Amino acid sequence: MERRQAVLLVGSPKPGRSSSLALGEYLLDDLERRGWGTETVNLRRVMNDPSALLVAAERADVVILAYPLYVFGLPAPAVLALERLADASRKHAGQAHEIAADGSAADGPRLVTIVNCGFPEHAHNDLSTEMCRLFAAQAGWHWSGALSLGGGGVIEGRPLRERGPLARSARRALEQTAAALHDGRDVPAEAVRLMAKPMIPARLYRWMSNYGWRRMAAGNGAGDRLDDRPFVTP
Amino acid sequence: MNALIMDGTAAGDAGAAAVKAVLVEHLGNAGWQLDDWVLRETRMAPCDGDFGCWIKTPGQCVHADAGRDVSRRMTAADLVVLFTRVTFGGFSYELKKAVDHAIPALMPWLQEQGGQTGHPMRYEHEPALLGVGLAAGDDGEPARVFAAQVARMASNLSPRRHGAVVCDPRAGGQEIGRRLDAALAAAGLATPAAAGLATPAAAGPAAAAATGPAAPTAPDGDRVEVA
Repeated sequence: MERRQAVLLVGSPKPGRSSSLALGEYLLDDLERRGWGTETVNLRRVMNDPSALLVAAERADVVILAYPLYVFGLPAPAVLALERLADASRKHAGQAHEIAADGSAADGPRLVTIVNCGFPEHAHNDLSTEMCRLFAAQAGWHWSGALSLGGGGVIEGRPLRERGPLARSARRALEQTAAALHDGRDVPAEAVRLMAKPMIPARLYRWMSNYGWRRMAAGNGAGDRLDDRPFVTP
Repeated sequence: MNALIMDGTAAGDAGAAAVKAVLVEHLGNAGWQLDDWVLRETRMAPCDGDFGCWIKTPGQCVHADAGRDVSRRMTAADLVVLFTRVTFGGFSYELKKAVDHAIPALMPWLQEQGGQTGHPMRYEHEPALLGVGLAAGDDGEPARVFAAQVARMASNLSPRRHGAVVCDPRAGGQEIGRRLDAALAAAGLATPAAAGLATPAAAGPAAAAATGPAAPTAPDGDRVEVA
């Protein structure tokens, strides 16, 4: 049997490690242990030359798009990547796809998304998930589902194993997803539920975030300028 | 009375120029003074996600390119028009790149707002928001998601008025104009005066009073209409 291939698209524009990378690599590593070939593409780095992105997607059985929520949507580099992948798919098909929203006529790879946001409530991510589903329908990919996490700041870009009990539910969600993908199934409902489980209570998350902003601003010598209003309003 | 058009269309977007012409004409006729920003002609790197605009140079991006102009121009506007090809129900790359740079207009603090967490605005001034999308089929699921995206963005940027409309460029100028006018009216933005803003002719002390809260007869700011 031919070795199956999973590609992780990291949608975080941050130059270093990110929570998106941490979540995506945990799933990718699990698939690798199951014998899959794996590849990671940082979407920020392929903006000027998308050939690596297009080649990776072309040979993928499963594409995992991991991204942070930016202004209630995908970050711009991830939007650009999806635009290019849809264009490539259209050219490949020779005509515009007319595919059911459930992806039933899809012949492209499976698409799984992992989205995290800086708000404690995962529901902020819902619209961006719908956009990814619409992309899959337009590109002729099979929509396999989304894992949605609130309070992504808790991960701090560190490997999930290092986050101990805080990330236990997220790890279980990703393990269940890996098992399902390996068996040719979509993201299980139980994995969706586990990923959506808050890592810490919302009130505590808000307090910790606000403390963190003050501490970081003070470290940059901007502690007394957090409320600056540099622009003139009408 | 200033309307900023953030034009996120690509050079090859079919029918974009025709729809833009109708948009400019109708906003101008309604009394809005236009700041037309064609984003594809602007050199702007994507947001780095480094939050320097909150913790290093509060209120503006740490990188000195056109990304810094986004919050400045949005803050100076009374109405922000998001003009884009509907892209999987969302904004095009060019528009999203600019919109991602809007966060300096927010404060970093997380606050509970109506049962969910959000950021308070940095400025008291809240520009109205209108999404104008282009799609070959002007209804259906992408249009619904597009309108929801504008409304969601509005929920954090807190404009008193917002709305969205999706236009099929093949519909013709008259129909496109009708839909734009209907969307503006539904959001209470038919004219600067209707939006509770001064008109050029009314400038002066009386006009200052007119820039207060919206008239009680105006539609609810939470409404989003897909005309």
